[in-house]
Amino acid sequence: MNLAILDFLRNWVKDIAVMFILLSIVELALPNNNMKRYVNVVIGLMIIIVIISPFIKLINSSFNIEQEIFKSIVEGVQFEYADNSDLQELHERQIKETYINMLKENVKATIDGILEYQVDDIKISIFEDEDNYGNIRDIEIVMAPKDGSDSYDEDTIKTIKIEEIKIDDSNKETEKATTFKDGDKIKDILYEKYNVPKDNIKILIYNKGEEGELSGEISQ
Amino acid sequence: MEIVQIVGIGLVATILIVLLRQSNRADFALLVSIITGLIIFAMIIDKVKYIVDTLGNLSRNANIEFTYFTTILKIIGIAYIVEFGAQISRDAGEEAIASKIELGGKIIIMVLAMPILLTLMDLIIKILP
Repeated sequence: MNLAILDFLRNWVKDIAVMFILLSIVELALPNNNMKRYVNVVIGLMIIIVIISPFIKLINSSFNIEQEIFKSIVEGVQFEYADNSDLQELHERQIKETYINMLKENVKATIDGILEYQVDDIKISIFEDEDNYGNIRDIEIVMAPKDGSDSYDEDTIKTIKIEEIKIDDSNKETEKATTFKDGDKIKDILYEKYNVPKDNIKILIYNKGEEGELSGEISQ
Repeated sequence: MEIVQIVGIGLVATILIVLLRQSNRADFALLVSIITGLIIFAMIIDKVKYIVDTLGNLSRNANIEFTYFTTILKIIGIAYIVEFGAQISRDAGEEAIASKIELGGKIIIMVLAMPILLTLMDLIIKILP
């Protein structure tokens, strides 16, 4: 418990310190006319958010500021282009793509290094209804063995045989990939962090050297 | 030694503009000033990119949400572009146009700041029991 508090304080102080260092550099770059006031207002808002956001996370652990900002941006776009639906759609799609890419980066940073596999590809889709706009609907992660790692044990190969037949009869995307035994660990982490239902997380592993062997197994 | 180049270009342009004004060619003076601005901007754009990239990496490492940072950078960019345009209009004696440009810049900065403001309101409402 003590350690958790210490960790919380450490992260909080670090965030604030880095924030102020960054902002002092940013303020150097400001042009010195009356635009400065407007920039200062926004900087002030950001400082407040950084200072109080850890408390929100304490009270309500599922609250995600980035998601809230994303939601507000989309609402703004809907308002801005209310009479031009093509442009609005395009703009919304671009924002969504940016958001999803950001999520991908986040997920990748979260799960990289947990296991001896590296992330090869991530597919994320998000909810688009009113209530939980921006929440992750499902994640599909394709992982590949790290280059040079030779830790295929008997276990892994056995799992591959079974899961391959169960899952891959319809989905072409996953033809070369198989579900992944240690994935539960990753699922737990993603569930905690992004509140995604575990059934909607798919973790697949892509084995380059074993395709021949695999296809042999399937045809039996 | 790039700073010498930048200052040199600026001084040469200044002298040119003064000469053009004296010989009653204010239209050319305006063009020279716009082009000088663009040249100097083109000279520093690489360095700006380097600074922005470094700051971006720092903020990502420090776990500060990247959305805020891009917003701040966008706002600074807008401030500079607006200043560039407004100064040129002012040099040409068009105070009215200059203040319209500044109005546009202010409004767009406020639009960019709105999501952060809304989020902050949301945070405050959530933190109250």
